[in-house]
Order: sequence, then structure tokens, then C-alpha cells
Amino acid sequence: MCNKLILVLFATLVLNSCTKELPFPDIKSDLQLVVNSYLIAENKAEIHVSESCHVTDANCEAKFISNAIVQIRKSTDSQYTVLDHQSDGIYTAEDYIIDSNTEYHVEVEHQSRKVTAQCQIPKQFTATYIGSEETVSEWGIVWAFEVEIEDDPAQENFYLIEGYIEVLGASRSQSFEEEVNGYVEPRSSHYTKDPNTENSAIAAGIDYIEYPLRRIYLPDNNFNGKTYNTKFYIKDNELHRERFENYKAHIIVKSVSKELYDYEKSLAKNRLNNGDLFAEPELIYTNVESGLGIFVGYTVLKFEDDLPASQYSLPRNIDIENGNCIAPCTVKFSSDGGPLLNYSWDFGDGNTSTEPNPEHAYTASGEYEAVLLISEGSGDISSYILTVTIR
Amino acid sequence: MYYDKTMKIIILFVVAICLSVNSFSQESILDKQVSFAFENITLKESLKEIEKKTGINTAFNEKIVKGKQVTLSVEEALLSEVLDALVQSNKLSYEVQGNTVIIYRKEQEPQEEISKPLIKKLESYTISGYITDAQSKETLIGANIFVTQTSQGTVTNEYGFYSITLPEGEYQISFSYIGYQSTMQSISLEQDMIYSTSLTKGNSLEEVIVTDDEVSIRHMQSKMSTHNLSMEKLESMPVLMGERDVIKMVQLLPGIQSGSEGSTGLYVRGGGPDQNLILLDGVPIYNVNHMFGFLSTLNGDAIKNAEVYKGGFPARYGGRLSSIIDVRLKEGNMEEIHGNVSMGLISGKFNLEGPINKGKTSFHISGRRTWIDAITTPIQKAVQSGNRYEELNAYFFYDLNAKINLRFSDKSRLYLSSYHGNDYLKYRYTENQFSEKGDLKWGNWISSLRWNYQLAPKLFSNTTVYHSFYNFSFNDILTQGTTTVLDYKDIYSSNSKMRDYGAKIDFNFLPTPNHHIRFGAGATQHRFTPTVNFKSFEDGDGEPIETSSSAEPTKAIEASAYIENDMYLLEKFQLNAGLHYSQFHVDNISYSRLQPRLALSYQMTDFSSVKFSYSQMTQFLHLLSSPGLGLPTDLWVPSTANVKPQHSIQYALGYTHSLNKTFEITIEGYYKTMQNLLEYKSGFNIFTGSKDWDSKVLTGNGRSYGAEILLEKKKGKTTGWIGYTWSKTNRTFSEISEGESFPYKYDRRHDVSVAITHKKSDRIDFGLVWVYGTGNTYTLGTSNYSALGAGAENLVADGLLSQLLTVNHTPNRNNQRAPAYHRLDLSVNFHKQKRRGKRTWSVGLYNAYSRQNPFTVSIAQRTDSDEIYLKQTSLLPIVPFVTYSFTF
Repeated sequence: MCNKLILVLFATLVLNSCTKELPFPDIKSDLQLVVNSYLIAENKAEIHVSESCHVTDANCEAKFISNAIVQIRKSTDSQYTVLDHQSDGIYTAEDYIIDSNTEYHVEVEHQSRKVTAQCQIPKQFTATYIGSEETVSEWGIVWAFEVEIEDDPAQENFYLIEGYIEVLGASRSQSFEEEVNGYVEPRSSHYTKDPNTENSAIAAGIDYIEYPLRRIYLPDNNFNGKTYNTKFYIKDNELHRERFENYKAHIIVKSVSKELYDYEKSLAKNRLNNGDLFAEPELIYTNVESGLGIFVGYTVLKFEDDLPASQYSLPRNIDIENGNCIAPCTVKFSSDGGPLLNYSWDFGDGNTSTEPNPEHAYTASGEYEAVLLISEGSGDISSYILTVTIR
Repeated sequence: MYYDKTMKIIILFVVAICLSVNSFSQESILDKQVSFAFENITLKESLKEIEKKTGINTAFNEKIVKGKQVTLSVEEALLSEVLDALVQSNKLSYEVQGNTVIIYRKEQEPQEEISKPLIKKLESYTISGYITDAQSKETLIGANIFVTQTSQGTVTNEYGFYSITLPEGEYQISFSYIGYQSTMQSISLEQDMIYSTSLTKGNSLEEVIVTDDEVSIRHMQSKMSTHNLSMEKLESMPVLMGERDVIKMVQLLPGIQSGSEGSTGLYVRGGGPDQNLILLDGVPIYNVNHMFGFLSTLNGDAIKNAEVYKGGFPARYGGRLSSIIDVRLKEGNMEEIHGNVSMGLISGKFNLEGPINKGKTSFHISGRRTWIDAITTPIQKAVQSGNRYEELNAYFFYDLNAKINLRFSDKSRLYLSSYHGNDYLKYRYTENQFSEKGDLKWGNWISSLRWNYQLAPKLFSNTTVYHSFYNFSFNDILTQGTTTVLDYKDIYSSNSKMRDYGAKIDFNFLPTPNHHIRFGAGATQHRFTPTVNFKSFEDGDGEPIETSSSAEPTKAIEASAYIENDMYLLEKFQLNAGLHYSQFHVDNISYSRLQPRLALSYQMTDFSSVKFSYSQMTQFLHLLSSPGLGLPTDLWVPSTANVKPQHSIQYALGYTHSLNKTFEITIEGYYKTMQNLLEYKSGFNIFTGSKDWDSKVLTGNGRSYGAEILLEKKKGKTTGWIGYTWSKTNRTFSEISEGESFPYKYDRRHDVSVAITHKKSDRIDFGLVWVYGTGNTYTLGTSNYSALGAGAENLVADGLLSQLLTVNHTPNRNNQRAPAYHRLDLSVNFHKQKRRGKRTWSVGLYNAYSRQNPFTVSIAQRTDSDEIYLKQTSLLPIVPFVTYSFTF
């Protein structure tokens, strides 16, 4: 609506707008060393080193550096451990495992440049996955997940909850559904809104928040000081168009350092407003001194939930039993669609049925076109045509 | 606290000035060697001849020189001898003031005065009254009153009123006003008297008379960083796009910038667009934009005078940090009906004024209406006929100024004025069963009632009650379905209203010619109502399935009181010192500020002066605006507990020199600091609404300093000015760029404006405007780098590499500068006197050499490849215009 508003303003106003190309400012001397790492407790250390590139440079991903000197140490150690270049700018050491509740320092040297950074890996924490619930609306299927995190109010801790739905069915087996949209909804007084996405919901005048990155950052404005009880949703707009499938929910809860929390927030905002002429770009947070990138870490808990078959799934298979029989005979139709869909059968001889799995007696021989119409909660109708030959 | 600090500054300054005072010795003009040969010519002619040869000026009352003849021949005589000879033979006397010789009737018995008792000599009387235009009886603001004997003077106030108190005696008083013929009046002051007079407009082709007194008075005034746009000046300014727009002219003054293309936004001495108080007959107007900022709501035909303050603010003004634009509207001709109709390419307007009751009551009414919609709607319909979809957009605005002015007596006048204006934008889009339609509407409605009353000869009062209302509304209706079967219907409407009720009383007290004391108080109640309503229907008659609305009006009270004294300290010093106190209450929070103001001038010679000013300003209202655009979504909001009032301190130092009455050069330097300025948080977009606005803004500080030069030519066939500004402006916000200062969006190192009109004859005049400004700053991510991403696609995969994504790196806010802005506008007016009035054809070009000025600069991607480039978008290329008007 707002973009429409801007367009209309300009269309009406601008008699003739013209554009022209300007030369890009030259910034060769300003290119910086970039250090990136998510140190995960109980995993080996991995650090990526690259160089920033001019904004017109299309091959920015390839600007990794393979001949840098990368050293890491705990704050309690006096000696650095040198990490070796593995591939594509990643430096690692097989036996260097990250401990939780520990501070790490990194030093990266390349040619005349040297950058440093440090971060604190949070300690282990406790979280409970409470469960999931499925509902349907005209927009598709929505799952609600509930997670509770026990927090120590004496300390300033930051959490990140991520979730995605893995599709186990054949048609989309290789990856999870890209169309999934997550959003969080206020739940009791424990939760109002996420500080990270406070910008997006207001214009719509509605309470839920579109969640572009399917992440929930805590703490929020309404923290009760003891436990985070968060309910969040993943919805699938496309689900009703798909074949019957099995889903698995992955819920990942991370206790993150303050730097990671700030970084993710700034990154989300930056990407949300990227290219918006009327907003100032968000600067992406960095904790790398005299360089760019992020040197942060987290401890993680993962939950998996095999979601029960959807009550609203469209049929994957439609079977005809006793087809090709000699008239008069009874044919049995059946499908594996969800039981809560509306079925409407037209057997091709003028008779109909609204049973999900009807039986129908044909009285004369011939070739019949049986049509199944399935209407979903959204009002969308799917049709299936089956040919029945009665001898 | 503010007060103590300021007093210290004042004292230090005064001491410093007193210590450094030099006596400027002046060679008497009377010692000039001259040669003349007059033979039976009139005295007047002989004096003109002397003026021509010696470069001095003479001032005299026409009456006393009338019919007097002279015959005189001298070789290399002293000027004093010549003058002695001239006056003695005619029973006159003269006196020298600066470069001026004042001729007056010889006092009969000068000795008698000395013999008068001393006590009688000290008896003082007051002469007061109004100065008006001889034809229309419109009062003149800022007209000069100069008493030749005492070299004292005063100027009329914003109601054309003056008052001067002198010891009993005979005086020659001159009344003058720029563009008018000055008159000299002999007045014998024996009691308090009311003397109102009229001045006649100078013939436009003759040299406009600027008397030395006028020049001298200007140098005597402590007023600085101020520009007066009088009716005369407004009329001689070039027209832009066929409209005489006062805000566009203000933008051509040094130290004042226009922001981006076409906008009516004002950026004064590094301040923001919200820091300007625009007063329409003393009432604040909140949105001066028509057509998204391409025109201002101030109709040039209705304006009598505009005073623009960018620094050295007198204590009577307050409430904004950077500028005060005090616009006074015409009151209407008291004598006869006059009017004007004009038609341009996009709009038409009319203007009518005249007496209701001759000499007692008059009215002035003017209005405008654009007709772009009448042209564009049929075109859009024609172009789209047969299309699958139909899209219609229409825009128009109108405004109306009306004023009634009642003169009850010489001491009492009443003014009722009202402004009403609205902008409408309508759009409709239909495709099959889907339709979206909506409208955008914004406008002001202002009314004020003012009562001038002269309580005593030395005490003038004005009482104002007013109402100012601003409304912005946006409605949008989405419908899917037919008239019989409705699939859904969403109705969205948002409304932002601001309403002020206010009252104030102002006094002018002039105890002696050396003191002009003003004091007064006022209070305003602001009410802010932002409303958002949303309704969603599934069928035509049913209840909405979803509704949401919000309307929480906020009320605030702003009260202020002030006192200022404009005084002559020593012979050549004038000081305007004052205090402005203001208070603001909103939601149980109360802010109050005492703001000291000081302006000091030292008159070096009759033609030059040095001025200094110090002022503190406080502003309780903030504007949430879309950067660079004069959009109606700009929203006024009050200070809150989180967002404190804005505050500024400004120092200015200036020097003004008048060169041979025609040219005047002003050089000023300023240094200004500002606190609690608003900036949007990164990533915030104004279009995402105004709810919870105070959590989306950051407050920080600003600093600006610069130098301004203005060279003005005030008389002759060619008039106008050239202004140049050098300035540096930055902002510091703790949450932006890690607290480092960054240049302001409109930080403009060099700014040049040239505004010239040339009157070739009574039938043709030309106008030229050229502006140049260093490009605005903008933020550009100049490099990219690989960052660890939170892309959802990376949640499943493991490993660092899979999570890398390329992001744009922005080193600093406003790190780049767009190309320079420059533009030339030309206009020609052809006038012709017809039987019933004067018709004028105005033709011209906006952006005459079609410069592609940057409006936005952004990164864009080519359509045919992945390659990106830097794209500059410009708005207006060369635009011709033509306007016809008829004045009767």
C-alpha cells in the first residue's frame, strides 16, 4: 500500500523524470580484511578470511584469502594456536574444540594488514520443547511451536530461536519448503514483540509480525525476568497445493553472545531495508578491530518433532478398486487426502457423492470420466479426473 | 543557568566594545571646494546641481523652497560659503548630518528659546500614528520616521504604527519608505498628537527615492540576519513558474537553502526543515506545501510584507530554532475596488480587494485552484480505453485567503483573517473484479482575530486569538468481487490532525525615542490526533471480520512570555536585549526554558555598521518527515519524556555597508549549535507509519557555521541581489557512526543565488534567477564483503561456507556527495495598459538550460546483466510556462 502511495505521488507529480549514470567513487585503498566465524561450543574452530571488494565487483564471494596467518587463543592461554588453511578461505584445526563459557581471541595477519577480535562463548543452558499444534486458515496450514527457556535473570543473556520444516515426502525431499513464512504472535504478558522487527508490523495496523528470517531474538521488551515462554508459528501458504507429505520440524535454540545478537539484528534490518530510497541503510555491526566481519559464538540445543500427517493435505494417491468390471458392478474410489477436506465426486454417469471414499455402482458398460473436486479451507478447489472403463 | 551565562557574555561584550571605541573623525563635507554659476534658477534646481557636483545629499520640505529663486556665481569657494549664500538670501537655515544637508525655515527668534525656563524645555510630547499607502490606504510596515533636528528616528511596526516622543518644539520630520516618495513635514509639537500620513508610490521608472535617512536608519538598527521582503520587493522579483512564491524567494537568500529540487523546505543556517516558524498574520502555519512542495501555500498576491529572520532573533519570537518568517497579508484597499485575475498552465487565481465602508472597513480576498486534473483525467481515460485495466490519478489544490479590516477610530482597529487550503490526490485502479481506490487529502485552516488598540500615546497593544488546523488523511479501499457477490473489501484510513487554539497579547511601549520596549505573553493549546482505522469485510452488508483502530489524541500546552528593549545605548550603539520564556506541558511532563536574546549594532558611519547577535531558541515541536520531500505525510509531534525539546545557541557577527545609496553589501558570519535534533533510526522509513514514533527516532546534536555575503542593488532599472554562502554543517548522534560527526544531508559548502529583474520600460520587464549549490550528501555502500548470513536456506546445511552471503558495507552516514545543483530560470512580463486595467503576459522557462539536477542517487542493476551502476534520478528538465493576468 505504501509503495503504491509513493508511486502514485510520483506518477502524478513528475512530468518527465530522467535518469543518468554517475561514475562510482574509487575506493581501492579502502578495501578491508574480513574475518568471519561462528564458534560453536563443542565443535572445532572455523574461521573464514576474505577481503572486501568494490561495490561493482561481481565476484565478491571469490575474494577469500588463503595465505593469511590466523591464530586463536583462550583469554587464559598465553600462546596462540595457529589455524591452517583448509579450503576457500576457511582456517581450522581438527583438534581445536571450542569450550562454552570461555573467552576467545583471534589475530589475523595478511600482508601489511593485521586485525584482531574477541568474543565470549556463552555457557550451557536449559530449554524445553513443549510441543506443536496444527491449524488451517485460508492462508494455508500453520503450525505453532512452543519453547521454554530457563534463564538466569542475574545475567544478561541473549537467545536466538530458529525453526524450519523439513519436507520428508518424495516431491520435495531434498530441502525444506522455501515458501514457509514464520511469524511470532504476542503470547500473554511474557511476550510482546521482538525488538528486531519492530519496524515492520506497524504500518499494517495489525498485531502479528511478518518474520522474514524465521528467527526470534530474545530478550524482548516484555521479559518476565525468569523464563522465556515463546510460541511461534510457521505457516505454509503452498501446502494445500501439494501432495500428501510428511513433515519434520527442526527447532534450534541458541544462547548467543551479545555481539552475535547485535550483529544479527543489524543484518536483519540491513536486509529488510536494502534498496529503500527513503530509509537510511543500517550499518552492519562488526567486532573486528580495523577490519570487517564478525567473530562470535554460541552454544546450541536442537529439537526435532515429527509432525503428524496433516488433516488438510491433498491426496497423493487416488485409487480405483474393481475398475474394469462388467456392468452392472460397483467400483470403490479412495484417496489418501486429509479427512478434513471437502470431497465432491462426479462419477460420470450423472451420479454424485460427497464421501471421501465412496462406492458407486455403474449400471451400463462404457467409458466414464469420474471427477473428484476437493475444496480446501481457503476456497481453492483441486480437481482430479479418473477414467473408469466398465465392460 | 542559561541566564547567568548569558549575562556574563553580555557584560564581557559590552566592556570589550566600550574599550575599543575609537572616535571616527569625519572631514566636514562643507570644506569641499566648489565652483557654481546659477542664474535665476529655482532654489530646488540649485540644490540638485550641488548634489550632482559634490555628491552630498540635500533634504528639504518642498513647501519651504517653493518659488525661491537664486542667482549666484562662485569660483573655488567652500561649500559652506555657497550654502550660506543660498539660504541666507531665502531666509532659510541648514544643518549637516553625515553626508546630508538639511534645509529648513530659519527659526525666527532663536534667542527666545534659550531664555525659556529650563523646566519647560524638558516637557516632552508624543507624536504617533499610522503610515499608509496613499492610494490603497494599506498600512506600511517598516516605514521610516526621521526627525532631522535630533537625528532620531523610528520605524513603523507590523501594523504600520509608529510613536516618537520628543521635547516640545518645532520639528522637520521626514517619512519615507522604500519605493515611495518621501515627505517632509513641519510639525510643531506642543501636545501629544496623532499624525497619520500617506506616502505615494514612486513612479516605477523614475529612480526609486532612497533618502539618506533611510539608509542611516537601517544602519542604526540592531536588527541583523534579517531580510525584509516588502510588497515593492516582492513585486519586482522574478516570477517562478508563473507564481510569485514568497517561500521560493526566501530560498534565494544567503544562508537559506531549498533542500532538494522544487521543494518548499527551508534549511536555514544548517537547521532542519522543521525549525522554521512561518507566521501568517501572526498565526503559525504548519504545512506550507502545495503540490508536494513545488508550490507554497502562501499566495503571493495576498502578501504585503514578509520579514525573514535567520539569526539575531528578537525576544518576541520563539518556538523554532532556525528561522522566523513573519508574513503579513494585505488588508484591502480602503478607497476603491481593485482586483486581478490570472490564468497559467496549471492554475488560475483571483484577487479582489476594496472598501466595504470607505475609509473605515475594507476586505481582501484571494484564491487559487489548479486545473491539472481537468486536463489529465480525460487524457488518462483516452489513453487507457480498451485496456484490460484502468488507472486514473487526479490531483488538485485550492486555497483561499480572506481578510476584513475595520477601523473604529484612530486608536482602534480590528482585523479578521482566514486562510483555507486543501490538496487532493485521488486514484483509482480497476482490473476485472478487482478495484483499488483511494484519496489523499491535506490542508490547513487558519483563522485569527486581531485587535490593535493604542492605550496611550506611547503604548500600543495588539491582542490576537487564533485557530490553526492541519489535517492529513489517506483512505484506501480494496475490493474484490462484483456488486452482487463480494469476495472481500478492505478499508484503510489514516488521519493525522493537528489543531491549535491560541491567544496572545503584545505591547509596544516607546517612552523615549531611544527605547522601544516590547512585551507580551501568549498561550497555545496543541492537540495532535493520529488515527489509523482498518476494516475488512467478507460480504457487502455483513459486519467487518476484522477491525483495528487507534486514536489517542495528545494535548499539549505551550505558553510564553517575553520582554525586549530596542535601545540606543551611546550615540552610535543600538542594543536589542530581551528574554523569551516558554513552557510546554504534555502528558504530565513539563519543560520550561528561558532564552536570552541580544543584538548589538555599532554605527561606524552613516553608511556602515557592525552588528553582533546572540540568541538562544527552544522548540517543543518536532516534525517527522520524509527526507528531502515535502510530502503531506510529514507529521508534527510534541516533545515527550523520551524526546526532549530542541535547543539552539547562535552567534552572528555582521558588517553592512551602503555604497552610494544604490548598492548595499552585507557580510555575516555565524556559529550555531543545536541540541536534541531528531534523526530516524537506520532502516526506518516514514511510510511505515507514525505510531510509537518516539521509539523510532534518535536524538543528537548539530553544529553549523558559515559566512554569508549579500550584494544588493536596491534602485535603478535593474534591481536584485547576489548572495553567496559558505557553510559547514554536521550532526552527531551517539547511535550513528559510533558517535562520530557526519555531514548533514544538506551540508552545502558553496551556495550562490542570483535574483535580478530588469525593467526595460513600463511595458516589458525581465527576470533572472540562477542558483548553484554544492551537491547534497547521501549514503552509499561503496564496498561489498562476505558476511555470515542468517538466510533461512542456510539453517539446514552445516559449515561456515554455506552461510556466507554478500552484504553491502556502508562506512559512514552521508559519506558521498551528489553532483552540484544549478539551475537558471528566466521570465519576461509584457504589460499593457487597457481601458479597464492592465493586462500582463508572463512567459518564462524553469531550468532554462535543462540541467539534470540530482534528486536521488542510488545503486541500480542493469536490466540486461548483473552489472550494477550508480543511478542519478532528476525531476524537472526545462519547463516553459505562460500566465495571463489582468489587474484592475
